[in-house]
Amino acid sequence: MSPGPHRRAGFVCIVLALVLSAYSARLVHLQVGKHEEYARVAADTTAKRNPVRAERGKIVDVNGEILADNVPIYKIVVDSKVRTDVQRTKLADILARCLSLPVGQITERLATKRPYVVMQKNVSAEIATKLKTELAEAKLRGVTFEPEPKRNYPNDNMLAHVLGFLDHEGRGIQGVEMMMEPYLRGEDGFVYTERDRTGREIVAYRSVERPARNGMTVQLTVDMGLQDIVERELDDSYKRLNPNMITAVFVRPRTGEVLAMATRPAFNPNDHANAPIETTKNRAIVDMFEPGSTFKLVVVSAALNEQAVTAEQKFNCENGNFFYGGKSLHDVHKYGELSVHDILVKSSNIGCAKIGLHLGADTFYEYIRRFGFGDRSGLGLPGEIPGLVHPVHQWSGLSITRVTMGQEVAVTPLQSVMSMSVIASGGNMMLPKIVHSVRDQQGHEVLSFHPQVVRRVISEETAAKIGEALRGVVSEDGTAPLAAISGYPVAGKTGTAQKPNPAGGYLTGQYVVSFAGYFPADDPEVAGIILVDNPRTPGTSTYGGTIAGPIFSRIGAAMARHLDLPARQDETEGTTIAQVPPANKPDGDLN
Amino acid sequence: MSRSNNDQVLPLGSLMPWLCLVAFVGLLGLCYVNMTQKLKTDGDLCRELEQKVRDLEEKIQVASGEIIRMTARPALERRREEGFIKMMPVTDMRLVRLRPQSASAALSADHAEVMP
Repeated sequence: MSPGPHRRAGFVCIVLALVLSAYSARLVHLQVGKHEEYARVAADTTAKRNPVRAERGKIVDVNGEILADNVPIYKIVVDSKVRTDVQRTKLADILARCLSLPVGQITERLATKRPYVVMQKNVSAEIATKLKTELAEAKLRGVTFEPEPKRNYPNDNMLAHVLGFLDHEGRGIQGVEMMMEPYLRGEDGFVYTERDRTGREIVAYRSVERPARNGMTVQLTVDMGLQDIVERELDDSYKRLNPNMITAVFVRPRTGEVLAMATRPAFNPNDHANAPIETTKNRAIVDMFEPGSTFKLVVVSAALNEQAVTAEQKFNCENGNFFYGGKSLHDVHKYGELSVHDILVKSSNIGCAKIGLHLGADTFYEYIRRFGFGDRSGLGLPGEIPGLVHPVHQWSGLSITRVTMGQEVAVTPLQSVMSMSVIASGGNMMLPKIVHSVRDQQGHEVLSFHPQVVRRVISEETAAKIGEALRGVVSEDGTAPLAAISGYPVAGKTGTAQKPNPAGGYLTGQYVVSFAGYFPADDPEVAGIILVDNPRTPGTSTYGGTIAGPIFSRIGAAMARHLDLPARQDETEGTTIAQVPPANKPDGDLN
Repeated sequence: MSRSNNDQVLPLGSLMPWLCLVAFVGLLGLCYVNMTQKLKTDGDLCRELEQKVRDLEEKIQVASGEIIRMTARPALERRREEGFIKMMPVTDMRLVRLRPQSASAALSADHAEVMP
């Protein structure tokens, strides 16, 4: 017996209900159970997270002169997928004309029919604008100009060692660029956008948006006027003396601000990739040298400060030949009895050795460390080395007579100038600084660096006595009369050290000569060091006083004029002596 | 009143709510379409303006970069050597000093002597 119509209808209804229930269940599964997965797929198809690139901060000098900024350059990208042959030919012609590329090369790349073909990188804004105009006139689309900011150093190799440079990812890898990376870098922003089927953004559906925070402006303590003076003089001296290297550092002794810092040979940070690696080193902080006689002020300062000697106390300088510890120690000139003051003025090795012996190794070592030798100065520039000072237990029996005259120790030019600043600032060791302040995009000061006393090294009275002796060095009786600056009293100390031989001992005829000093000696505004590594001066004597001293004098004279320092009266003649030389600038200079 | 006449009369009173509802829904739909279109055109306008601002910012950046390049010290030095610019000595009389100098010490820069 066949089922009745009601039963058949009921059966169909049940089947339909089951089928629809299955569909409903599937729908619920898709909409609820797999909501997140499919929502993500949908979002990936239409929504996109676009980065908003932050601009790197500028670096400026103490007067606001721009030392590092950004210039826009572009990466030209072509979508070669959807094009007719006619369009492709037309596009290739325009690209070849604007980018100065062979047509064949462009046609080959366009034939790949890929959506992202990089046509050229590092395209200047000028060329990009020209290309945009031509593409608009030809009504061609599908060419993208991706901005890629490039770091620009407008002064080329000026201050290059201090500024440093960036790597290919835009991160600072040397100098201030590396030191201040967290402030300069900024923070990229982003915006989530949705696109229609043609790829155009649907602005109404923009969702989360975070603007980019541009990098901050870093202001240095360096004065480009002074830096220019130093660099010109170094260029001139480098050509004339043909040394391995020449370095100059100038600081304001009372505050520790670095006013100028330069090294030759130099490099152009705009093209650092092609510069020899040796030229990119900031020798003022990464190189160490035996300081020679400039180190003598340490032992004399220590002995005076400890009241182990008085300035007038006399020592027998053995007529230039002192036999100690089985070896002879010589002076350049033969001296009999010299006072402590004169030992420094005449730069007697024997006199200093005897003061050292009188003082004792432990106390001397303590003062070496107090003067900052053997420690990083705290300037903050990357790569700074602490120098080399052996602890007393590693000293030989002769060391006390050698370290006193600047052998068996190695110091950086910056350490040397900071030790001179101790005398200039009345006995305080200041923390050297090269960053003046950090400002945000609105010009608000975020960070500022104030003068900071690291420690008192010697008493003010001792500093005054040493200062007096150092003034004597730059007199007709001293070793550096050529370091004098007309119109301004100068105090300083020469250094002439034989270059150590890597195989042991010293190299014959190769010297590192230096002059560290400050001016005006009665009210110090600037302290500096000139260091020349192996100057080639056939026929003339190679001494700190004859090579580095005159360079210091010329730089100091121009600096005094730039800083508008009041000239002093000539004490001997009672007349005005402000005679500031124009420092190798025949038609005037830019300062 | 005949039966046929009665049949031709529309019961507007009872249909009115439905008619209103249809009209309202229709109007809503039109408004929606209009607003969507407006959003799209406003979005396009917004995007165009943003692009213009970006272009302008780039132009400013390029121009300021050019100014910096042309006024950098090496560039000025080159110009000076080429004779395009000349440095004139500034006499002491024309300087406004922040720190007073003694009259005896004040000498004009153009009277400076060259050191040996």
